Amino acid sequence: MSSQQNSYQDIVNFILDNVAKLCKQPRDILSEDTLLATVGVDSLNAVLLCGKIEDEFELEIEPIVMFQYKTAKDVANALINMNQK
Amino acid sequence: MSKYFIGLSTTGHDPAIAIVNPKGQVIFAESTERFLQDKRAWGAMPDQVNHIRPVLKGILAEDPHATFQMATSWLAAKADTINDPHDVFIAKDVINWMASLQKQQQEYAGKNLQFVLGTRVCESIWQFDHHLCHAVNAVYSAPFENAACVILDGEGEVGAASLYSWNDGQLRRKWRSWGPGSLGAFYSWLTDLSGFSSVNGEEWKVMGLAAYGAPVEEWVNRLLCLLEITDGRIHWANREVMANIINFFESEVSFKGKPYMAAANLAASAQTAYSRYTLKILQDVHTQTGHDNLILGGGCALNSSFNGTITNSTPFKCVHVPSAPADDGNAIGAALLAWQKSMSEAGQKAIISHNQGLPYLGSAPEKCDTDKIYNHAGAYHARYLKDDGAEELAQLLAQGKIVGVMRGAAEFGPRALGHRSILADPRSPNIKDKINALVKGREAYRPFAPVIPIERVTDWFVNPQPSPYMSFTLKWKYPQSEQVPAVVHEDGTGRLQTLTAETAPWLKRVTELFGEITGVPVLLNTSFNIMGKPIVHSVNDAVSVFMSSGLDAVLIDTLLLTKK
Repeated sequence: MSSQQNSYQDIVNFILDNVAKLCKQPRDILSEDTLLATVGVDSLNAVLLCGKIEDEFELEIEPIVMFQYKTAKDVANALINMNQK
Repeated sequence: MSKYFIGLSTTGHDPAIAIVNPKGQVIFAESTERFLQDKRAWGAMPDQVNHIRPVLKGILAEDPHATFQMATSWLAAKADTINDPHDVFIAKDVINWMASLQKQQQEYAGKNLQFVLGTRVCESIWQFDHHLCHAVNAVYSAPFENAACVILDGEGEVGAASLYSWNDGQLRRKWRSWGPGSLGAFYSWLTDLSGFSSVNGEEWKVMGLAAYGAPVEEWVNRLLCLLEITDGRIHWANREVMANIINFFESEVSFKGKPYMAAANLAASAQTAYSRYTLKILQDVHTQTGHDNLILGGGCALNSSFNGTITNSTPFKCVHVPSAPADDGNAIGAALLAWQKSMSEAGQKAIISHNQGLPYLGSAPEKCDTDKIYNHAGAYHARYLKDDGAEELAQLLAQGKIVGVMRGAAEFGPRALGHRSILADPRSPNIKDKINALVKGREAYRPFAPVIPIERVTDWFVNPQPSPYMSFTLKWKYPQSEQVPAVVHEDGTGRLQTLTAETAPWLKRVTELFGEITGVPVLLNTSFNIMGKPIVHSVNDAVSVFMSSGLDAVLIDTLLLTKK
């Protein structure tokens, strides 16, 4: 998927779909404002999510992104900003 | 005013320093352990003042207005990016210790150079991605214009595997594996479980011991449940499953503190599991890239037993492994990347070279030092040879003498490739025990390696292929193997160095002359050191090993020392 075509909502949905799988959580309880740490995104899951995002959206992301930003909304905004630089 | 680029390997273990000239050519590379004579030089800064000063003096003598730019082999201190480092294969205290050393080096490496060089060196130190450094180092010596470049190690910036494509001078990352799934950490754990020390870098002892055992199917099956390979990426399996398997091995299959031969079946099982995982990665990579050529880097590329099977077990037709694929080699990668960045910033085209295969990039003996040894010879005979010493050395070896050789610039990387080697006649079945008893003092099972002219490899080895840096273990042909028992391992293999006129002209000539005398164009080559110490660095190191061991002679450039 080209990074130019990624909408904010694509990234948020992708993060939340994968959080649900990795953390064995029902998808419908997760929203863009959910604090990811509260649903089981520990440091290991955070780096795995980074890898999935990097592969899916063909973005080069910094390892620290999942530790700096606490919600899918914050992560998606950060990635879009990084991609625009 | 010319600018030079200094690469610093800053992992915390295996520090090294490399220098690239304004043309993008590596003119010096050496591991810090050689200068310090401290194996792996844990925690030592890569820019040791007295190590690098004579090298810089040489550059400044030729180029008085030279300036310098430094670069490190990591983007950042790991401890600052990952706030909860953990691993199931490596104990937490070891991880924390290693992270602290990496942080220390990442923050302070270069300070010595700034002191020595003053205003000649740029204050800012550039930092480059760890796996990219591995890849650039590997590509620089690769003979291919197009290849898949796979990096496998203990840990990089975000994971322990990366794939790059190398096409016509362009190196591009295709993907990187995220998370703690690591073949390097997996093999380190099995090294400790086998009773060896991963901190001491003894993974290759496991590889050697594997030939004496047989893989235990149950163990292999369990080991293969620890990691999952998906599209080349390495991930941990289910953590509960992993914990059960690790607990089983730690409680039922640990050989810590036991005689090393007891661990032979575990070693064989470890090597089998490692090979299957790595094969899966390489098969995935071939499917993704379609390349026939493979460039392999990272510490896992030191597994020569596996490397020798790649062309038979995967669709790859040719494989290249650099002379220093592990973290020491990243000094070269960082220096080359700094050169490229500087050129690009100046608006100039900067394509990193390839096919630069000469590994002799380190320090060389100084004539003033050999003269001192000559002038003060008392306990030994010393004489300068008139020619390059090849004929006399071949004669000595044919007479069964064990000879240490220190010649020209040292090899960069862990293998002795004829410039810091102990050479001997491989035809004698007793020579292996003799070298172990009188010189090396190492475990009796460990194999010695052969050197052979490239033209003769087909006559002596199955699946012949170039192996200029001892990166590939191949099967000897029978009955030829019976002629060289000292360099045939328990499983009928040898970790060979192939000799060409371009890469090792002098050693090739010695080996050919030995072949003319004996009918066997093969020599035994082992590193010029004693057990537990790095390969010799100074002339005094060489003489010290000579005087305190059973070496019959030492050749330092053209100075021949023999015992009275």
